Amino acid sequence: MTNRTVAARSKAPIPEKVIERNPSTWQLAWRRFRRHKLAMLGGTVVMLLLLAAIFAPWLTPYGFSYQNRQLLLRECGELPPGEFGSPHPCAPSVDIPSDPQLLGQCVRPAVLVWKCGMHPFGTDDLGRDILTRVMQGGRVSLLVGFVAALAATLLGTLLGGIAAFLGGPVDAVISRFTDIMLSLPTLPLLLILTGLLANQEVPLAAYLSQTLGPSKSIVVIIIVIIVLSWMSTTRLVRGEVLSLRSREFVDAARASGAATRHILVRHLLPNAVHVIIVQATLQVGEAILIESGLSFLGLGIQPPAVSWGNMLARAQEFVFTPNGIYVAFFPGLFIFLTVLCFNFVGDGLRDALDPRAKR
Amino acid sequence: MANEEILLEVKALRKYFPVKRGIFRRTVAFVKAVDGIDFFIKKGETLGLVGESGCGKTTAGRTILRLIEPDPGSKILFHMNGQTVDIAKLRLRQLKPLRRQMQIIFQDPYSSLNPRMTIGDIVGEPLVVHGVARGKEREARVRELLEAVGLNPAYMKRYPHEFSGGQRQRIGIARALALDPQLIICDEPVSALDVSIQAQVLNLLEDLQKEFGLTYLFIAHDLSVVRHISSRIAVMYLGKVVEMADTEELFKTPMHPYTEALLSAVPVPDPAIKMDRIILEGDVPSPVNPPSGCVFHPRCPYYAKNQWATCKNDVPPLVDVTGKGHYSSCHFAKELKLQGVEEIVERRSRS
Repeated sequence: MTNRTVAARSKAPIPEKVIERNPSTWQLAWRRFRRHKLAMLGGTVVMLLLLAAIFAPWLTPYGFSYQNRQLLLRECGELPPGEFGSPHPCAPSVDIPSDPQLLGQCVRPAVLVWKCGMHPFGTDDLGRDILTRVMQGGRVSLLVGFVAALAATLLGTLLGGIAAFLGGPVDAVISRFTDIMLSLPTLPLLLILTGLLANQEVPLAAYLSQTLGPSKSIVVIIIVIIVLSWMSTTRLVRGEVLSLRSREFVDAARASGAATRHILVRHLLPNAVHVIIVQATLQVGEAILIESGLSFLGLGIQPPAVSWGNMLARAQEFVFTPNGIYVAFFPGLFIFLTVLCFNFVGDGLRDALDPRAKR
Repeated sequence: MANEEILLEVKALRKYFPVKRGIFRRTVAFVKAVDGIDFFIKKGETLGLVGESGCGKTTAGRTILRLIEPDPGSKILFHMNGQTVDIAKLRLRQLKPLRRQMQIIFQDPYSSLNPRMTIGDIVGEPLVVHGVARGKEREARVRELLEAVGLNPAYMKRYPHEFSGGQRQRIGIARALALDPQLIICDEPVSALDVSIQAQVLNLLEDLQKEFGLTYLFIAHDLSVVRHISSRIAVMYLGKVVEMADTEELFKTPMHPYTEALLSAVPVPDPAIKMDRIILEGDVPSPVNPPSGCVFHPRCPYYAKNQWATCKNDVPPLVDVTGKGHYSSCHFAKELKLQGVEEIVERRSRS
């Protein structure tokens, strides 16, 4: 008895304010994240991109398939300058090449310089505003990135969790299947999958095109990305759950008679969630890359839908014509920025959510 | 005699872990972590379970709680209110009510608390699992428990990372007390702590034992700690209990050569005292392939001297040698004149 009172008294009286201050692990994580400069920068850019994508229909100056024909015709030399009223203050400052082969064919992109307010990013070969199309494409690319990453992470978490928790033959089957999927060459698999899903004779593909119509290619690409990218999450979550399961607080819960569900929900999930969040963040960037790669090959998002990937694909024809680089530059820049920023955020989250980290 | 009532009886407790090899995970051998041990714990006492690392102490403690499944044939008899339940035979679902009677305190105060839960939630978790108290009532109970282990109840909303090792161990103890159990298995509860904190936690455990009438199975490798807290001691070697007796009797008149060697290794905090240490030859044999007969014979100094054939050929049973509760599993427990601590410690004059 005496010892207990001594122990209790040996602690200095604590002012009420100090007692109330109890930063949860999440609050601590947020503090650490805020100190991670690159992650904060990445997070800000990601937020801006997201807002721009969400509000694109209200922000973009033109419709995404609107063609500035006047400009186009003038650039092609088929229309004398100033025909349609007075020249715009932002008159094109493009050199019109005197290449006789190109002249008059109207395949050359008419690109305006940066200072111009009319088409800040220029236009493509059909006279469509690139800024508008980058924003519209961002909607599609980010949507594909988020949905695919979320679904792949969920699937991976589920499989990894089941493998680790049930163990034995279930674990063996899931783990070997993951290994097989990881060792399949990606590109041929992508080609086969997209080919299959484009084929109207495949029931799923037929159903999709019936219900979704022209935006079917978006759903197809999401499915393909999910099929290709759940494996890393599965491995990660399996390892994490295996290590958590042997921790003594899980034993303590079992000794109290806690049911499996209770252990999963109260102990395993909250402690594995940081790994899953980081993985999901990194997966978004990866999904966007896969989408652009596929679209670049002409297998991804099909026109008239726009994505950064198929903008790039379209740009390959013009890269070597004067100023044509802009058609490729802006979608490429945004892919690069988005993936980079998601990776920064992922890195920042990894450091911030590490339970072993100090405050 | 009321205090002679037996609470827990362990008979032929056995746990072999399979060793698996190859792609087909074939079982090629077994690690005989616990190889048929017998002991019992009386109500209200503290039984110390000692032995060196890897001798199966922890496995024994955990199989009693069914955190590790015991092998078939093991018997874990729990006597309560005149009834006897064999824990080893129960289905996991049937076990739940019994969980209220038996709790565990872990060695590592860091991994035994969920870093994502407040200590109020951690201590209250058993109450939630058993649905015994909710809302304000639960909070009041958690406060009471925290106070009982010498923690400020105002800390309830804090997270484990805000506490020191000793405080965390107190939280673990509070959690074990939550359901008002009869038996607490203390799995090396102080070996991860500083010596000064060890004393605090040991005293706390003793106080709680008096206050709540608890029975402890105290697993440890530190003999001085075990001597301090235990009323009886069971010594384990290589998955077997080799000796079990009242604490003072064991220290004074050990009846197994392994115990004698262990006692000679207890440090005495007096530089004027010269210890006559018994150094055991060789290493602990592998529990995958334990020696025949008496598991201790390859390292036993008396076997080395006399080369008795029985030691090598016959497995010695754990028998009550004195008839007064001093159990030993040495074939020659009566014949050997083993030294207790007093004889081992040879006092020299300070000159």
